Amino acid sequence: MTLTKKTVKVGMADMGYCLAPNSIGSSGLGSCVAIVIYPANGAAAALAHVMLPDASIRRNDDFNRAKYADTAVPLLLETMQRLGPFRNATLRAKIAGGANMFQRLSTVDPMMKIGERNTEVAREALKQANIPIMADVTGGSEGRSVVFSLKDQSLSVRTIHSGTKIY
Amino acid sequence: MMVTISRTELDKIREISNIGLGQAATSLSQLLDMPCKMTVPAVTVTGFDDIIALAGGAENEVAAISLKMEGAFRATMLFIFPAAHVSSIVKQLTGEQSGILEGIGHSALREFGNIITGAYVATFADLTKLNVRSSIPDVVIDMAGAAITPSLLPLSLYGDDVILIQTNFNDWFEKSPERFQAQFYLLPEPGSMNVLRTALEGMPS
Repeated sequence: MTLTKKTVKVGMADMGYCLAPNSIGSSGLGSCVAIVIYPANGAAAALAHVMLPDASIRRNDDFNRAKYADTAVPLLLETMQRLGPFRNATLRAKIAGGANMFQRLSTVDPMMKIGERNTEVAREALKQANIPIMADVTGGSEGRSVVFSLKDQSLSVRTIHSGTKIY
Repeated sequence: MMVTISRTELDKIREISNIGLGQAATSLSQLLDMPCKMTVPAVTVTGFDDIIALAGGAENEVAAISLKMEGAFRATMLFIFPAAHVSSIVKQLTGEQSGILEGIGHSALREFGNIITGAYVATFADLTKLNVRSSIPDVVIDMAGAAITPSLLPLSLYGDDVILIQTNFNDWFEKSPERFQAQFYLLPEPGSMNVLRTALEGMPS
């Protein structure tokens, strides 16, 4: 029996997971950040597509933990625990996104600088959890599509102008 | 928070948009020295995910022109069209076959955005009697997910609906006008919805 490899697609403000040898990814990340957490043996991976840095800025009680960088990291850790007996010490992370898409508007509207904040908070939350970041493909001003493959734990990042690069 | 808006109110917004984009088309015709038309076939309320889908999916390449409406009524305006149309618009504006990422192409697109949104804002202010002004537009050509999401963020703190104004537009390719559809979004800040509602009540149906 041959195993067909699947790619799980994760939409905005959402989260997903996959098991080896499958892949997981998100398309068209701008200021959003994709946070991938996986164990060093590459048995599973969970990805959150975060839109905003911290849950404290929300204005209503709609609470979706995958939407905010600070609450997405604990959510990914809980998900990993459900997927297998992975010790936190063996977990690794890769992150991508957090671009500043509108250069001009970001000077008048702090909301437009959100990419940088998303990245900072994601790094901070991973540091708090003692999870090393193996690849950090963030910043700049280009949209990215990302796929993390459990075949080789690679993160492939595609942009319109530079094609696909592997991290 | 959902955008709750009545059919009558949407009809009035459609009327404003028809006049505003009509004015924009007139300005563009003068600038380009050729006939140019814009019509508004539909005004609806739509969700964030639908916006990305209407733009051809998260990875589809689009041009997005975004600016802020400020003053008595605060909103973000977003004008989105397929990236495939960028070069013909730039060529028409500048007479040059410029790469879309070169400076001239960017400024031409910004000017294009200025004309369209400027005419729209002026008409909006005129008809609603609201004192509004607009910021300089910003242009980005990239994947739809990346280009559109930043404009939705201020609203994402409250909910995820926006007012969509669907626009038909003439493209000028080799003198044979082709229609293409652009999406024009008005994203009122939640605190401004009531201001808009009151202003619309004052307008004749």
